[in-house]
Amino acid sequence: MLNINDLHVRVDDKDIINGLTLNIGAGEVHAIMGPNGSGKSTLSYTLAGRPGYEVTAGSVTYQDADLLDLMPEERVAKGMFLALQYPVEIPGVTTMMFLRTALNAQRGARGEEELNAADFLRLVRTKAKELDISEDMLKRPLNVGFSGGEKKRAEVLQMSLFEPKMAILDETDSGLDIDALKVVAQGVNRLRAADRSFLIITHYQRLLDHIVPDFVHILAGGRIIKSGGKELALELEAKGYDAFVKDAA
Amino acid sequence: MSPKELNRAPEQSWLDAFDAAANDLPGEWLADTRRDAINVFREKGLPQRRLEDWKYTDLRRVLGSDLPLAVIAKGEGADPLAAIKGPRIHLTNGFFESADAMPKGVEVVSLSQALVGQVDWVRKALGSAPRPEGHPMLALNTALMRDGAAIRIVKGTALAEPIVIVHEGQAGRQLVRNLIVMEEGAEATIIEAHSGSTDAQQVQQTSEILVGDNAKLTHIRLQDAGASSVHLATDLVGIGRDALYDGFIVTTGGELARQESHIEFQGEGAEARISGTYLLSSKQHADVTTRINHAVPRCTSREVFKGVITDEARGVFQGKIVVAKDAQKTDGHQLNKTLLLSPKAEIDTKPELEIYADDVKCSHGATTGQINEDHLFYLRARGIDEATARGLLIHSFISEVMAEVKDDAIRAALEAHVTAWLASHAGIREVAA
Repeated sequence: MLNINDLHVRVDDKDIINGLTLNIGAGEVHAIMGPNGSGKSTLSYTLAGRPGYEVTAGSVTYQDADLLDLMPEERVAKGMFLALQYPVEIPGVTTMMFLRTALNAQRGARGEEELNAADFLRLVRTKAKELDISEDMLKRPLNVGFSGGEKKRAEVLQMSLFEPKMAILDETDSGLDIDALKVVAQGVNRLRAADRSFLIITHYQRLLDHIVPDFVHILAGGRIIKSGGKELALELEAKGYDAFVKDAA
Repeated sequence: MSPKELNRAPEQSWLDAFDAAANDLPGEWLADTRRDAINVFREKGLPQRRLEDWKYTDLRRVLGSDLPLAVIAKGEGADPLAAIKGPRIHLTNGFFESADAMPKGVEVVSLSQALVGQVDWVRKALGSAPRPEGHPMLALNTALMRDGAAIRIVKGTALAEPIVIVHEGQAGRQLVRNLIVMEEGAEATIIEAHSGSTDAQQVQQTSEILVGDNAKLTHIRLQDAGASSVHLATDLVGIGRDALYDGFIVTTGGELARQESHIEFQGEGAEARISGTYLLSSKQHADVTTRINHAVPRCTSREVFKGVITDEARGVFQGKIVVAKDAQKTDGHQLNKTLLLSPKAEIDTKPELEIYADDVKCSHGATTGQINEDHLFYLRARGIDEATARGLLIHSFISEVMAEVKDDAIRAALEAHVTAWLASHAGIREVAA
C-alpha cells in the first residue's frame, strides 16, 4: 500500500526526518509513537503533501505511484487521508457544504459521478449518526466553535465519508477525554477493512488500547529506532522514551 | 493642450460650469445658498493629498479635466439588482427619469421639480442633514445640484417591499442630490444600484438622510459604476431618538471611488450600522470614509468593512468615531479587514477614535493579510483543488460581512454580485452552495 524508503525531509532549513523507512501493507494498522520533536507531524504533513516540506532524499510509493509527485488533492483522490491534529476553523462555510464540495471534488477527480444533494444528505446523516454528530453541528460553519472532541469527531466523519485506502491519524487523541476517545476509536475501528490501511501517529499509548495496531514503531530523531508488535507500546509506556532512545544511540 | 489650459487651476472648469449654469439652475430660493457654496469651493479648492482627510485619495488629479456636465438622457434599462422586488426610481445621468407607483405613505418627487415647485417637505428638509464644515465636494454639489430623488416615508408607515433607486450613468459630470425623509416611526428599506457605461464620467452624489424618532431605515448601496468613472457618494445621515440607520455598501465599480458616510446621532437610544465590502481589481482605487458622531448619550454604532483587493488595485478605509463629552454610555465598534490577493494590491487603513466622554465602550480593529496557508492546505488535503479552495476561503472571508445584511432576498442578490465578481476578477470558481 505505502512504502517509505530512506526518507529525508527538511523544513525551514532544518533536517527533521533523517532516513525513515516504513512499509505498510493492505489492511494493516501501524502505530508510530515518538516524543515531542521526533518528526511525527513532519512525517504526516510530508505524506499529505503540505508545501514547505522538502524531501531531500528517499522515496515514497503509494499504490505503485510516486506519491511525492502528486499534489495534495491528487493524493486524496487516490484514497489518502490525513486527519489533522489541529483541524482549522473556516467561518462562512458550513460543515455540510464543505463535506459535499470535498467529496464531489474527490469523486470528480476519479471520474466518478457527483452525488446529488439528496443522496449526499442521506449518506452524511447515516455516517454522522454513527459518530454522535448532530444535525446542528453539520449546519454550523466548519469547525467554528466546535469543542476539541467535536473537531476530532468531525475529522473521523470526513474519513468515513471519503472511505480512504490509506488513513493517517496525526495525534487524533490529543485533547480528548476518555468518552470522546472511545467514540473516535470506534469510528476508526468500524472502518478497518482488508483493503484499508492505517497509520496512527501518537504520543501516548492510551489510544492504542482502543485501536489495537498490528505493528508499533518508535520514532526518534527523525528515524524509526525500533519496531515491534502491539506489545511494544506497552513496553514503551512502562519504560519511557528515554530508555529506547539510549538503547538506539 | 494649450499653454493656457496647462496653467489653469483644475478648479477652474467647475467654476466656469457654475457661471455658465447659474441662471439655469432650478429653485430661485436657493440662489444665495448656491452662491455661498461655490464660494466655499472656490476657497477650499478640490481636495488634495495635503489634507489629512484626503491623504490617500487625490481628487484634484482626476477632477480637473474638462468633462462637460451631463445632459438628460434616456436610460437603457440597467437594473443590476433586478432579482430584488419592489418599486423602482430611475435616475439616468443624474436626472430623475421615472418612478413606479409607490405604496401608500410614500411620496417620491424629482428634486428638480421640487426645487421649482412648492413641495414644503423638501424645502424644509433640504440642507438640514448634519454635515461637515467646509467640505469642498459637498459645497460643489450644493452649488450645482439640479436633480435627484426626494423620498418621503410618512409618519408610521412600514413598507413591505424595498424601494430601489436605479442609477444609470452614461457620460459627463453628474451631480445628484437625493433626499430621504423618514418621518417618526416609519420603516423602510431603500436600495441604490449604480451602474454605467464605460465612457468617461464623474458622479458626485450627495444624499441627505433624515431618520426620525423611532424610525428604521435600511439603506443598501451597490456601487458598480462604469470602469472609467469617478464615483463619489456622500451620505449625510441624521438619526433621531430610538431610531435605526442600517447601511450596507458593496463597492465594485469605478476607476476611482469614494464613499463617505457622515452619521450623527441627534436623539438618545439610537443605533447606526454601517458595513460593507469592497472588491477591487486592475488599477481601481476605492475609498471608504466614515465619520460617526456620537453627539448624544446612549447610542450604539457598529461598523464592519471587509475587502478583497487584487492586481494593482488600492483600497482606503478611514473610519472615525467621535464621542462627545456628554455622550455617556456610548457603544461603538469598528472593524476593517482586507484580503490582498496579489503582491501589488494595497490597502491603507486608518481607524480613529476620538473620545471625550468617560463612560463609553468603544473598540476598533484592522487586519490585512493574504489567504491563510494553513486553511488552504487543509482544504486541499480534503481533495479540493487549489482554485476552488481559494474561492471557498474568500467566500468564507466575505460571508462574515454579508451576514450584516439581514434580509435574505437582498443578501442573496448581493452575494450573487460578489460571486460573479470573484469568478471574473479573481479567477475563483463558483462554489456550490
